[in-house]
Amino acid sequence: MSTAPPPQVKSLSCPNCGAPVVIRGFATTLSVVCGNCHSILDAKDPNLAVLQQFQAAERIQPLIPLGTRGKIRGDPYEAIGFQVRTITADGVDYSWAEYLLFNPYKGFRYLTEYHGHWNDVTMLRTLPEVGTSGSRPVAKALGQTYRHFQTADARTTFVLGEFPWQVRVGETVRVMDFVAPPRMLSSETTGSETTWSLGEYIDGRQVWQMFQLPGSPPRPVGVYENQPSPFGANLKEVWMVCLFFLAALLALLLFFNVFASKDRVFSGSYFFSPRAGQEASFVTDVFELKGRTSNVEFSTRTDLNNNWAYFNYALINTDTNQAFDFGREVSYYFGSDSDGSWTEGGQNDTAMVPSVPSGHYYLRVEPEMDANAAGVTYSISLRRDVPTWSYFLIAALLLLVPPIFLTFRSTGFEQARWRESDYPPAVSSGSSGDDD
Amino acid sequence: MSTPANCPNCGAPIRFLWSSAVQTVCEFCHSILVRRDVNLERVGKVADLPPDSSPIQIATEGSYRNRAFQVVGRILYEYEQGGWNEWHAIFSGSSSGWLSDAQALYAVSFAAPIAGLPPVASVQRGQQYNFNGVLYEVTCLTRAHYRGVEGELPFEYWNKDEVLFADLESHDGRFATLDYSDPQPQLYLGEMVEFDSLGLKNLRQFEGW
Amino acid sequence: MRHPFYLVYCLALLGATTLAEYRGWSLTSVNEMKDVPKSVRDNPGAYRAHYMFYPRHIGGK
Repeated sequence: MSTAPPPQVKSLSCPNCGAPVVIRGFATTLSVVCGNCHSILDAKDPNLAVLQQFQAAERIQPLIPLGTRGKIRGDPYEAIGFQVRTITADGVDYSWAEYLLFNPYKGFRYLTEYHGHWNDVTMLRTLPEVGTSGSRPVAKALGQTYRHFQTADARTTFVLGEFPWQVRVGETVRVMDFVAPPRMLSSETTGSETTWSLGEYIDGRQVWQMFQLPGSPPRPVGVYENQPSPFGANLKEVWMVCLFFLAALLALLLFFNVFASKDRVFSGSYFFSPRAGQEASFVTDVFELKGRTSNVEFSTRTDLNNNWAYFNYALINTDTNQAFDFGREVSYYFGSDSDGSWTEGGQNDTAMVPSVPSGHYYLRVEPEMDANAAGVTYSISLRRDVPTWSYFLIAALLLLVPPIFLTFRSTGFEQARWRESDYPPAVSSGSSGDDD
Repeated sequence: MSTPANCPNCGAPIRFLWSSAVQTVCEFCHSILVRRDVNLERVGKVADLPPDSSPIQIATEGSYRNRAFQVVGRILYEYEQGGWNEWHAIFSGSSSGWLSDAQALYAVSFAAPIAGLPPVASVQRGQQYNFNGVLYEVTCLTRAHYRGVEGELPFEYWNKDEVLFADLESHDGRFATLDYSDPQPQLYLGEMVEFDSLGLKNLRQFEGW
Repeated sequence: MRHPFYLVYCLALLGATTLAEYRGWSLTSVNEMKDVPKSVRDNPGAYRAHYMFYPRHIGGK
């Protein structure tokens, strides 16, 4: 029933320099910028009175050209305004870009961009509760808790296009960011009011797709405040799997320990003394190794004192003529010096012969000693199917490698994130250096 | 539902969309007409309304929380940073509600008959009040002035000079307004809504959209 | 599960450990000889082990 004609896009001329000025936001636009002479004009004035003229050190080109339309969550939006805002921290200026997107039915939303990191920002329709958690401020809204990242004074340093408020270069607002990656709550406070907005991190490639922009988006540098961690949920899953399998390994270890037969299949005691010309080697009686192919534990116990002995062993199968050949050195020394008494080595030795098939075996033993040694009394004891734990230990360590590695990577990522905040992590020995 | 009558100023036929309308505006001569018993009394004239971009218009239909409504009137406000519309919507059962549109941020609210409202002098930003058991905080104080009316309203409203509005929000998405247009403060309770949730039909057209 | 690789990796480790334990593998190296003549039982001195790694001890520390 409204008799007014449908609102139309207005094409006007800048009163200062004559360049064309377009108003796409219909009556919502309050100020519009002449891109040519950088005059901010009053959009409500039929003569477009100049409200401010600013100097720009360089002509900044918005990555999304004004007037471009894109689809966000199925709705078309047009980029009608562009501003660059700057904060100064420790004497360094940090600037980011904001794109004002307009749909006459759905209203306004923003896309912010900083060093290749993009955020989809809308006005928050509920008032967050601000409190503290530990020693840091938090904001709670929509069932989520956001941690305070940064408070800074942001000043507008460059504008293009149109705005539904009276924009001025140099106007400053106090901004507080609270993060819960991939989301962020930001409050902007001027003298009279505080407005809250909700940002969601999006990939630059998504923006390029939304607006069908040519080329590719700028590559992101560093970690942005609400950038989601690529590790996040994965890390929890990986640790859960790790713990499960560690438990499984433990169960397996216990199982093998209980069911190993540990059969003592042979034992004997001997005396050896090196005599020139005398044959040192001898063979034992035949004994049986039962059960499945498994290991054989060789224990050698000696009475060495400040001496060494070398035992050549061969475990020979009488049926298959197969032999397992190895040697074991046993040495034991002791004494005392200014630090007290010391010992080195041991009188006993244990070795494992792996994967010995069952069957009838005998041992061939050939001891060796220093030609001048007095001799050694020793005993040999063989046990069949003895449980070991070394493989379990190796497996457990290998199991832990990926989750520990991922945890390091994840911690590094989070440290890179918080390094840019008001709460930088304590400086460790040397900076990480990788800005990826 | 529609009671035929004639504009006392220009004689044009006035059709009411809402039987309980207290005030309406003649489409042709823009006279503000107030219903007194059976007759319509002319109390003033509305200046030309400024160009505005609300997608809502008189006769727009929609639904809020499963209750259908039709827009029958509006009040325009202007303040230092722009303007907004309060669209008067009639819900089934003939009750009045308000759909506010401020730069395409929408809220639906209803007049709440709560006594003991804070006087205008005591309201400040950050102040908290409890209405119907819900805690609200004052987020914004707006000094606005009336800019115009259109269509049917549930009360007489025109030529208000400066009026103070206090916007309040709760932590669970509720929205409230304290309206200090009249000596007696009026409270409206409601919530901010998404455009899509209203299922609006018969909206205004925009060039190129 | 977003990274099935780790699950496969864990299963492989568990499987390998079970196999190693079941078959009695060992970390110590032992030489296997194929054809040991029966005469060794009568004349052990004639047997010469073909050790690959025969650390001839010079003795002592």
